[in-house]
Amino acid sequence: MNPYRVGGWVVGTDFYNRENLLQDILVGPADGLWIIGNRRVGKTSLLRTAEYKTANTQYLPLFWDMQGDTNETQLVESLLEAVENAHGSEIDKRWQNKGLLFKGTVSNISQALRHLSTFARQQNCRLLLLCDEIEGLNLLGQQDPHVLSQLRRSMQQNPNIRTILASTRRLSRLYAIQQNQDTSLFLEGFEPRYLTNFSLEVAKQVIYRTQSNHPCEVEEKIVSKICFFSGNHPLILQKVCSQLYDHHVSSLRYFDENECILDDQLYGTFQQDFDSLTPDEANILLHINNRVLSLEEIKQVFPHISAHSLRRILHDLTRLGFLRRLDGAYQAGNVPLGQWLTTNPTHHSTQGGVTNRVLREVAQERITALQRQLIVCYRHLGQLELRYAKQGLDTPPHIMTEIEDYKTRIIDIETELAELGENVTPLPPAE
Amino acid sequence: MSLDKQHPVPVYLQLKQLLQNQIEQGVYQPHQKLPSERDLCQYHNLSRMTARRALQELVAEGLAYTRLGKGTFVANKSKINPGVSNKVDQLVVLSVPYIAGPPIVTPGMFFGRQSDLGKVISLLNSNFVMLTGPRRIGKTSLLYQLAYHLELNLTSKRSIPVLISVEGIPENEFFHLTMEEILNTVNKHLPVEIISDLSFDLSNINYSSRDFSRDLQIILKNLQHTTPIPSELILLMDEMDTINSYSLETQSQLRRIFQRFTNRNLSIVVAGVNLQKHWAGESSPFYNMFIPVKLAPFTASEARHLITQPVKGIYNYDDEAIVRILEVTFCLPNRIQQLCLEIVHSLATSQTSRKHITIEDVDKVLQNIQWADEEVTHKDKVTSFYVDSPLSVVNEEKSSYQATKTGPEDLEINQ
Repeated sequence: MNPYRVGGWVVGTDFYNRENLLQDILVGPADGLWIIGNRRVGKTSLLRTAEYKTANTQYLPLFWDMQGDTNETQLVESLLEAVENAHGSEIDKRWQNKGLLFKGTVSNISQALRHLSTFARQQNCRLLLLCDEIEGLNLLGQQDPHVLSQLRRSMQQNPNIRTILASTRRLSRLYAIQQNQDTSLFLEGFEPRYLTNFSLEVAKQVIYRTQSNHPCEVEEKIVSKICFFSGNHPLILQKVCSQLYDHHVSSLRYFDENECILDDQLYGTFQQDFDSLTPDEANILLHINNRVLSLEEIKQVFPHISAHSLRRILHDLTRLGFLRRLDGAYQAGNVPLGQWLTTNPTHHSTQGGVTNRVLREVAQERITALQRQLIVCYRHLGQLELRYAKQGLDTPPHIMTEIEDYKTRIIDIETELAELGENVTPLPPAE
Repeated sequence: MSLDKQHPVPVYLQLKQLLQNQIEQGVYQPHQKLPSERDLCQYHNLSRMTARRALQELVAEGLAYTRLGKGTFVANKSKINPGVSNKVDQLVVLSVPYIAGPPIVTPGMFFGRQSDLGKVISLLNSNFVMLTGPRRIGKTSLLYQLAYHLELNLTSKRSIPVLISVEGIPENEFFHLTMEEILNTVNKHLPVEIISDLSFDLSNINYSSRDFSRDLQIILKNLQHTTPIPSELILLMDEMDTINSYSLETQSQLRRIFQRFTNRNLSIVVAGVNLQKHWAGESSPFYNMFIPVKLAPFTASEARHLITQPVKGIYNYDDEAIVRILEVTFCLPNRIQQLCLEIVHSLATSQTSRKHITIEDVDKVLQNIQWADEEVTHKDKVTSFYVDSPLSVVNEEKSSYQATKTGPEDLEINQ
């Protein structure tokens, strides 16, 4: 059997890395997170892994698949279905007591969430809502802002509920949708986090299947070629590996880039991702196309975009995997995307309605979140270094590892803040 | 004879036997139309797929034939020419060596596509697969063969394939009818009390996606505990283009359910011509959870195999004749079957005892042939579907043939 997983979500030994995000979800200070990622990048796998990791802990996890929900009836229905699924899946045994829940009719989403929160409290834990495919809230926000407002209140103001949202950046349209509404902005209480492509190191682990009982032995040059070809994009990486897998030798054969043609799945995924770009972003991406261009070369073609905005756009496109950096210059995030951009570029258009304005809101939320994280990191680092100073050579090894981890994380955060054009000096700690 | 759903003999075979008996007893005369799938479903309270499979078995055995858009008819035994030289030839004509039209149900009649079959089986390790290709390229046949091979494949778990044709299912009955098909197959693997615990009821037309999801969960859970080994449910859903006409809400519900059971003992293969690529919904599109496997026309060696194997030991083809067949059929399996069927039929019903099929025999039949797959009559329509034109395969075969013609006697090309 082919061990590579292309279509569905994965957990356990098939799920690789994402440690930082998992930490944020499980023990981070924010009770509301918004995981932003392109299609097929692993959002569902991340939430499912969080569900498994928090089962039978101080959290009562509930995976709530909201795809297609655009009104309150559908929301209530999918929430009830989520509870039934949790009960049936037996991941967390406490759901077996769900008989206590929903006696009588549930009339609205606030009531349903209140019942769930009470149920969790009865089990001496907090409810961890893992909400997937929530883009339908855009329509809900247009058609029934009152329900969206109730949903926000239930998710953000109930201290017994911690909420993780996962969606593409299309959800950012909510900022524009709610602009003239007399309600709080739904997304304001959720710290944005980007779910990006794998790092090179993790990509290699996936190819070698290091977590499996049957790892693959693959030639280094094939691994390098796959990583470059796929740009470490989870779907493309696994797709290529799946195509190259030779079950006779349980390994991957060498390949010619031409044989990995665009198929319907990739074509659809690229189009969907492209739809979530602003017109400026789309134009920049189409201009870069299958070439390698420096920042200066891009600037010359788009003089109407300020240097600050351009840097932010390139940062976002890179973070979402549309672009990658090559010796300081930019190119398409992976080879198939470059091919796709070359194919009838005039046919590519953005349909998602995402604008520069709403992305500025997202960026601002992101900057605030990064600054908060930076404060926390520095504070923890300071405490650990103090301990090291006191204990010297007697410091336990895990403390040293943690110090290194915090330093790495601080560098990552400061780099991202710099790319977003922000002063890297952290805000003073809150009182 | 009534049909017994609890009987170990599959219901479709019981129905086939019932119809066969009626044909032999003269209830249905040659050329008379047999009851339609719909009539059989209603009369015997069966699923459409069961009725279809029974009729296809009759066709595969030469007891009936189909006419496109008209239905299934009793074969005309008198059509067999008394001048046909021997019983073997009669048998060839009777048993219909090539199957043109209906899907290939019998594994012994399935030629080519072995690599596609292997690929799909290999991918089914918790992946969902989407078979695409133009009409009459062999998607349904591949689903039948998948069902056959998966059923035989007893390793650490037993596979229970369920063939479901979605064609014509109205949106509001989709979940109900799909569960009906699943239960028709899995009921013999599960205790009666489990089945009776399900929300599903034949008469409950208000069966919702949530009911479906709940029932499927119960079924999958109990299939994990079948003895002596756990079981896996494999849904083989044909004509999935039908769901393009469904609302986004239903499509999202279906995706949600399929997504939910990823990593469980459920695998799914859907087949269709053009599963919707343009998605108007806000959340993920239905199709992006499937790994697409595009069915192309046969390779030259697969096509050659399909031409020669069904009549091996009875008839043999000149190489010129084979190349001509590849040329005019573009290596499309259905066309090959249709043309070869006509050729063999023409030869068997003639006064000759010749066993050698020549290019003249092919050309003679070609003068009057009307391709069943009218939608791909024009070669551009065939080639437009594929990145690699099947014509290039044919041309390759042709030049290879020309080369061997001038060389020694080895006439096996690209085998």
